[in-house]
Amino acid sequence: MSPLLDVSNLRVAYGDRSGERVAVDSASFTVEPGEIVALVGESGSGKTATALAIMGLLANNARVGPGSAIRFEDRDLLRLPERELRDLRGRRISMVFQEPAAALNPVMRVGEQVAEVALVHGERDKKKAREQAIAMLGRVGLPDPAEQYRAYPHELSGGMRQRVMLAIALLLKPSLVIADEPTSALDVTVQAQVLKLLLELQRESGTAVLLITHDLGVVAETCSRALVMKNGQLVEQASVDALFHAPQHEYTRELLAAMPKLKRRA
Amino acid sequence: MLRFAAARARQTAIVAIIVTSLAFFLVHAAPGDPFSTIDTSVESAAARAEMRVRYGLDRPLYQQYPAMLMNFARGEFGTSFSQSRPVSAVLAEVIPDTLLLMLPALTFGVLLGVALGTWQGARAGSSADRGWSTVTLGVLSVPEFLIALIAATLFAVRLGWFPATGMLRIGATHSSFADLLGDYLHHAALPVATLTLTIACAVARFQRTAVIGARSEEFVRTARAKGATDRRIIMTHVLRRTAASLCAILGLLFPALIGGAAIVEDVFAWPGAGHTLVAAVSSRDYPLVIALVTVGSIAVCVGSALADAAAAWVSPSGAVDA
Amino acid sequence: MTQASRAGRRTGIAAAVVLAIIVGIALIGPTSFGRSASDSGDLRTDRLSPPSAAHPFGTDASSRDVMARVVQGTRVSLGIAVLSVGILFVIGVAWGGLSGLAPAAADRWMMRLVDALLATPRLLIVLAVVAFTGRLAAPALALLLGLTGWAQMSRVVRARVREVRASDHVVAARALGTPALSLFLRHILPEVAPTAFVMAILAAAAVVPLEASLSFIGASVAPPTASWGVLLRDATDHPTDAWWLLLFPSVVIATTVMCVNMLGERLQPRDRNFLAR
Repeated sequence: MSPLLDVSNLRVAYGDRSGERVAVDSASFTVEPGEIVALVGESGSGKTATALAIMGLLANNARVGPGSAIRFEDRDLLRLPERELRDLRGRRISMVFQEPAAALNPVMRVGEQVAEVALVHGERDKKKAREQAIAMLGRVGLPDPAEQYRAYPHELSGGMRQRVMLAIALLLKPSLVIADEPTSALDVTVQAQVLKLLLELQRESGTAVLLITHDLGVVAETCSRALVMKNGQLVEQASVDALFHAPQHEYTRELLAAMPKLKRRA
Repeated sequence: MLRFAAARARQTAIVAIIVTSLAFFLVHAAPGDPFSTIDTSVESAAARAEMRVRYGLDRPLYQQYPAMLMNFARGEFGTSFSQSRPVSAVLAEVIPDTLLLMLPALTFGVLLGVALGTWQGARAGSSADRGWSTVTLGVLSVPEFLIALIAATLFAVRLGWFPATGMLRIGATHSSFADLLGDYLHHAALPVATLTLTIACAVARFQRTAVIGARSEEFVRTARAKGATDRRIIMTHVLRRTAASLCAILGLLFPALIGGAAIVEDVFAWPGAGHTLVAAVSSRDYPLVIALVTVGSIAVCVGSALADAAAAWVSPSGAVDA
Repeated sequence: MTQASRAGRRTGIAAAVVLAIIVGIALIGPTSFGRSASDSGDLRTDRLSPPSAAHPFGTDASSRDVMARVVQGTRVSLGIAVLSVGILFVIGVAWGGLSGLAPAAADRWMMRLVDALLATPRLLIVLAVVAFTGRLAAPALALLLGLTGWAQMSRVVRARVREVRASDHVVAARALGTPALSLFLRHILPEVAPTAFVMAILAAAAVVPLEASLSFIGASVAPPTASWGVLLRDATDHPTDAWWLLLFPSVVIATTVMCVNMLGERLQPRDRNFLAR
């Protein structure tokens, strides 16, 4: 079976007057349908740039190197016209961002922002989109979803906002969700809840997840495979078991060593 | 809402008192009085002295000032020297005429300005954007009366398309409401267009900045990730985000707006408060001048209070400051 | 540097150059060009003549050379602008600086006065005064404009002073026991000065049209002194037959104000909330 996502030789560089800064250097990896893959690394390692490249949301001054290809459902995303990319975004591939307070429009009701996904992708009936959104808000665990539909982002707690983000990302049951540090901005107790929700939703819909994180504990608990990045390069790819018990690359070993002991035992 | 209104009302009252007092003392600090200039050819010195007494100008300042404030609070603004009738009557006549000029100009100006500013903000940095920025700056750099003058000279005097002065045909009777409306529109076209132009350019400049700011916020990236088109992002997300700051800006623009309206009225001899003020200044009609200046400041306070109320109404309570 | 900011830089420099030329010509004055602003020529033949070799900008209704009048007008108007901005600069910086350094209660009251002043249309106050003083000499007008225009400057200065006061290096200096005067002169002032100067430029851009408007209404300097507003007032007496009376002063005014505005914009710190404070 062909992989859902096939990234080969991805090279992303940010350029300006003074020169170029390479964010991602020849990264190659795949994601199988329904898999949960972790993309691990510290800040600046190129994880987010990789995610944005897949979504086609890189900044204007970013150049994707020649010879890079990102195949998704048999199409090269890097060569698709913007119109077709827009069709895929939110419907077949979606993204969850790190900071939900910033990622949501502060002057728009959260329910409307969820319903927007349906409206953008062909739902003409506003009422139906609204119903879909309310159902989804209930599914992600918001109490009294019909009432919460009308809430503004600042009226919700951080955890609830991130649930809204998950609702947006999974409304149309995409085949791939890229979650960029979805729990890093949340309190520790809430982190666990949100992760649990993500896993539930993933199981229900069979969505593949590319989970970007710097937290190895989360990786151990949720993912089947892990990709380790450092300075833009993919230094190791392995199943989580193999990674934790027999790390190949020195950097991976350093990361493992840096983890607090309690977590590692889990 | 009630608390807000009460607070602004109190603020307006304070401003009105300060402005009136300022005008009063400045006026009396200057040499001469109204009667030393107007009436020398007509009235004798004794008659002038009598008028001074009648208008209470012979009393010492510390008596005139509180008397004036009390009267103002009661709504009595005294009598206009140049028009020989109560100031309140004059106000009742000219303020609606000014509104007939300002309200259309404000409406069109804001609509046009928001459209242009948003259009520019969506293509910030492009040559089209920079070109229009130069245009708006150019328009705002030309003194308003000059624009009015050029408009009047070109379209009224030279081309004769519109009348150069007044609000309605002098001494005319109108056969129907449609006729009255048509006459008003014909006269209003140039002055309203002039005011609209400056308002639109000022609003466009602010709106452009606001749109550029909103576009760089993170929620835009989320919207993109949903697959939304640029057009939808601008029209739905960005515009809503800029609504609050737009209202705030309108509040700030009010003083300039009222000053500008006065100038335009003068150039086009539009029978409104501004035109009357200029005439009152020339004839040193001090009750009328003070009353008009006070009304002007009150208008500014009311305008900015309305703008702030609108800003609060558009933003969800407690939301991030625009 | 992006293409947009390179273009912006060129505009700023161009504006500054044009402004320098205008100011230079004003300083030199009409007489150095061999022209007089008040000399009436032959009233029979020379009045209202279109631009020619002898009179590049034409003559006015009193047979005066319009070019000389424009140059003198530039002198007068710019002089008033500079003087009034100087006055409002001093008052505004002083008031704003004090308010910024003052304890919260005093600061609030000081700013209330500023808010009241800002709420009033400047034009109206000036008109009220002129109603009773009649026509003013140029310095008096400049004083009046300065006295009515310092509010915005003080607002901005106060905000900046408060901002700098709270910044890390000032707090650190205070913690080290730096005396207040030294604190003000060496730490706060250098950071506030650029903002104040930019505001001064913008204030100049606002004052010029205001003075012109006043002169136009007839509330300003008396003839035969020319200021831009007076020249435009004269032009309205002959709107169709003497287009040159309107054109040349208009172009000069618009160009000057636009250049000042462009310069002010270019120099402004790139702060989105600049005006909202």
